[in-house]
Amino acid sequence: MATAVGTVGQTTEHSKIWEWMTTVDHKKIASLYGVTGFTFFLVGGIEALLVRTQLARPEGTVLDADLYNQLFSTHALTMIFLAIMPLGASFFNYFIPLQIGARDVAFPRLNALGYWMYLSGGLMLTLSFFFGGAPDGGWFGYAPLSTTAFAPGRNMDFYTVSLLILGSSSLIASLNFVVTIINMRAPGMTMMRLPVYMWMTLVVAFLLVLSLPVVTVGLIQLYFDRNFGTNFFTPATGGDPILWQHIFWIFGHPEVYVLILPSMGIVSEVLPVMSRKPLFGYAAIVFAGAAIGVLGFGVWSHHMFTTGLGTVPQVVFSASTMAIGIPTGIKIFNWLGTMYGGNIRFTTATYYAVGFIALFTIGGISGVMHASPAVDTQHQDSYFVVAHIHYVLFGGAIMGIFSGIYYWFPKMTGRFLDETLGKVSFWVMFIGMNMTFFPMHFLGISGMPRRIYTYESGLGWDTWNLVATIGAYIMAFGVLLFVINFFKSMRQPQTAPDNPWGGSTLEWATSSPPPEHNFDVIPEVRDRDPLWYNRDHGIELPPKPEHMHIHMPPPSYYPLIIGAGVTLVGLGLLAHLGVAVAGALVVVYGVWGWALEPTD
Amino acid sequence: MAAAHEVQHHTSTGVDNRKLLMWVFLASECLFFGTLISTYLIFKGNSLVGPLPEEILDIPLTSLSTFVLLMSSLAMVLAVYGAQHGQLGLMKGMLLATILLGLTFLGFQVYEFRTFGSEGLNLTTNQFGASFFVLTGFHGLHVGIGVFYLTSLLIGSMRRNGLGRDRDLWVDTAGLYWHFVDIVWIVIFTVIYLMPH
Amino acid sequence: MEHEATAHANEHPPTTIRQYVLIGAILTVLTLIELWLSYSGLPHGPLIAALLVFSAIKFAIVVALFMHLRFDNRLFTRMFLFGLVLAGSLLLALLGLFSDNHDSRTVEAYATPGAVAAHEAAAEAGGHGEGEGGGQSGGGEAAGGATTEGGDGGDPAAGMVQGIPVAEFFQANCAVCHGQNREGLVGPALTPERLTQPDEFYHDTILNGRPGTAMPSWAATKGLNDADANALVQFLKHVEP
Repeated sequence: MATAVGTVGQTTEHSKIWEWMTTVDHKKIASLYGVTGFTFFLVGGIEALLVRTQLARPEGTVLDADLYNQLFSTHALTMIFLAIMPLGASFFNYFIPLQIGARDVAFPRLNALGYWMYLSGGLMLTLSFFFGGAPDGGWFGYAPLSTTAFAPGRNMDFYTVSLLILGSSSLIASLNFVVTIINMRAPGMTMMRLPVYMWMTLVVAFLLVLSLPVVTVGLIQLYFDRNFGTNFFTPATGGDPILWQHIFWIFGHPEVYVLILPSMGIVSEVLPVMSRKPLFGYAAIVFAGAAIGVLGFGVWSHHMFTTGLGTVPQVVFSASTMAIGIPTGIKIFNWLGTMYGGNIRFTTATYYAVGFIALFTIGGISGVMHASPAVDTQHQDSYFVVAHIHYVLFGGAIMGIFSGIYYWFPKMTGRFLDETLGKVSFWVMFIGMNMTFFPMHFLGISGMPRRIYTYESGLGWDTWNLVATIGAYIMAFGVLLFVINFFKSMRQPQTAPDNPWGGSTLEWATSSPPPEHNFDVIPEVRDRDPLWYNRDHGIELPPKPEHMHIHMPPPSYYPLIIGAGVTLVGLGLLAHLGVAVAGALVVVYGVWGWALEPTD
Repeated sequence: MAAAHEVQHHTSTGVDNRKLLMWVFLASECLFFGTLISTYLIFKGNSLVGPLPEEILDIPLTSLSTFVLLMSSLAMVLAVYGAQHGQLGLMKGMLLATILLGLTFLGFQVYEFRTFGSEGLNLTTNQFGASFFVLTGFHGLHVGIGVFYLTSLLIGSMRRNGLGRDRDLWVDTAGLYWHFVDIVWIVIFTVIYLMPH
Repeated sequence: MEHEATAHANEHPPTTIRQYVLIGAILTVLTLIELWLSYSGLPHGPLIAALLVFSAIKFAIVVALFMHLRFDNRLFTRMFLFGLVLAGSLLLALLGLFSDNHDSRTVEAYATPGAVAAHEAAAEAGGHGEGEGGGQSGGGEAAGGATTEGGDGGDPAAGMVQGIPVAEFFQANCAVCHGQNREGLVGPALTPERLTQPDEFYHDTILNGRPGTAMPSWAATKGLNDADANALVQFLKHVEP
């Protein structure tokens, strides 16, 4: 299954669209993830703007309470599951094989299946607005608010079903990434020579593989509660709503690291290259990343300090939460150490990377504050927490992703993004971001609760809410500038050299954009920074061989068929179980076709 | 073809991609069943009305079905042996035996569920009903998927080319899945049926 | 085809068919022993321990020999053990979190000397609802701030429910639905000024639940008795949140 046979440069009669629908090339799948993820990022942004518009003035009338609930819930779900994770997956897909020196991922067709299931789940979640209402119980879907007694519509069924599909998609993608990184490395690429970005990817993939099954069980139980009359999370026959919170956060907290670790990896790639010196404390950063991954499974109850856990659990989870600040701090100092004394080029990618460190540190510090149950009890469900998560997720994850976009854009497209426009867009976003989210600290301290659709005047919240809303529009303008930059650049000719930034990792050893088979000759790795080692030791890459016998996997439409089958199963779970059975049959057909497809 | 084959077997760690995928997936499945078993144990004793486990569980019958699943594991390991030592008759016969034993286990489960239903225990009756049916039901689903998996392999092995040169790896990987489903049942049998209530 | 030499013959586990069948027989015997144990009438503690040991042995045999992890690459062992250990730890943590006892065992560390003194005074003045936790473990925040009244039924803030101070019992069990400050969330608010019905009404609601709503019967779910319900009613009706 792993390496099927096709021939490089094989010409096909099929149309362009068919080519994209049946592709198993990791770079094309990465582009699909990237474009889809960014589209959903814009959708989630529009949802956020609507929410902020409603809250701009007291007693706002832009939205009613019901639509407001749907918008804040889907904003979170969209940004987490449909934007940040897939944008991360896009970079993973593109750069895992390139950075480890492989021709493709271990299971190219599974990779395609992951994308189609993501698209299916994403559309289901977003289009639910037009089919009886989007999820309105928050991204955490707390029981009993998510059970039929308080959410009688289809809204929360869309939540359970689309998250089950998205979870399966992430699980498939992560299994593939784990195997690829462990098993497909170029000769000489030992684990301790892996680029830090690959290490963070590996940790993220493990976090997902081990945390998704937990929430899968929770979602199945919630689905059963809502549709088959069980009482897992309703107290009527002895069930327990707190159990849902535990199950959700056992997944939910590792998920937070799933969102932030990729950006930490990107920053760890950008800063050494832009500072023109090796990463400071490689081993420390790697072990800190792994430690965050392991500790991340032992802190979930800090989301639940106000549920009456009891003293011992509070102390334990408070301590473990504080402990996780240590590896995070190690990373921040290592980045600073990397830049210290470096000959720094201030490109747009550097701007975003430094912006990441600054804003993520603010978010990290307010996070450590919440490790104290006493402080947390004050902040719980207030805008202070909203400020915290957005400093981590926008200031952290999104800033890191933008850094990666500017850094890798020449490699992915052969074109440069405009640096001037990029820097303007950075500053607009940076100012807008701080204007939006910093005042939320004040709002939270002065008692404004989260998730309220309107508020009365005279509570001292009016000014800062208005500032936050203006900031949100400024931030949106910054994103718009990036979109303009993107389209402007895509009209330029492909002029980017192989290694425009003087990078040290293997993706810069091939052309921009890379050929379908990535490397004409698989490079040999002799150092943690292979290209710098080769440069310093005068080692030339081997010349392109005259006859290349490189076999790439042929395109396959079975991932698409299985994806369609899974969609039908999902729709069946929402509408009629007969449809689900039909979908299961389509999946069976797809699996058989997949297994019997000639690969040898 | 030969070139692709070489690439496929040359991995950084020397282990096959498929087997690694399966083991990581099984690690993930540990968490899946771990959460289901946690739910069962947390709700143990929380049922407000009967039937309660001690009133309804048929331990001798389930011991028999446990034995059936255990024997299916033995058949599976012999199928893997056959695949690895080129004894294709043994492999096919034991695959068939595994499938039949798996189906027998599912038959026991269907019978058990129907009996419980007629005795007044269903998903909505009490916490025991909900957590019992969801835990054992999803285990049964895994057995069913395993039967489908092994049937596909068996049909594949009947083709002209059989399972190809990677035959032992295909059967080995399927065996890992099947044995895992069996060890999950070892835990479930102890936790639900044998432990005092 | 039938005679094709296998490419990896030297990597195969050394087990023979005879050995596999023997392992199958051992597994069967172990299952029979488990079955016999479960009927043997052993006390619960040793029985559970023995059953867990036997099922762990079976588990290990299947994984090591049938899934031939013992003969295979160590990488597989590490991957699988990581998932298994994590699953086991989470299971133990969840069971710990859902056991009801950790509050009553730890309030001593929580309570200030003043609070304990106030509570003991209340107990001497005739406070009721002392559970098996006893006077030593009492106290807690609620009692620390309350004044001691003698007379009928004692201090409503110092009551005990199943050996746990009533305020802590409320936080651990009722606050999920009725709010941390009893302001009401899913369930109605439970502040003194809202509770206008006679005591018996609330007493009955706590013990028997309210059919058709999410309010369960606490007699059935947690085994609360009359004294427990009384302590809760006094607390809810007479102590401001």
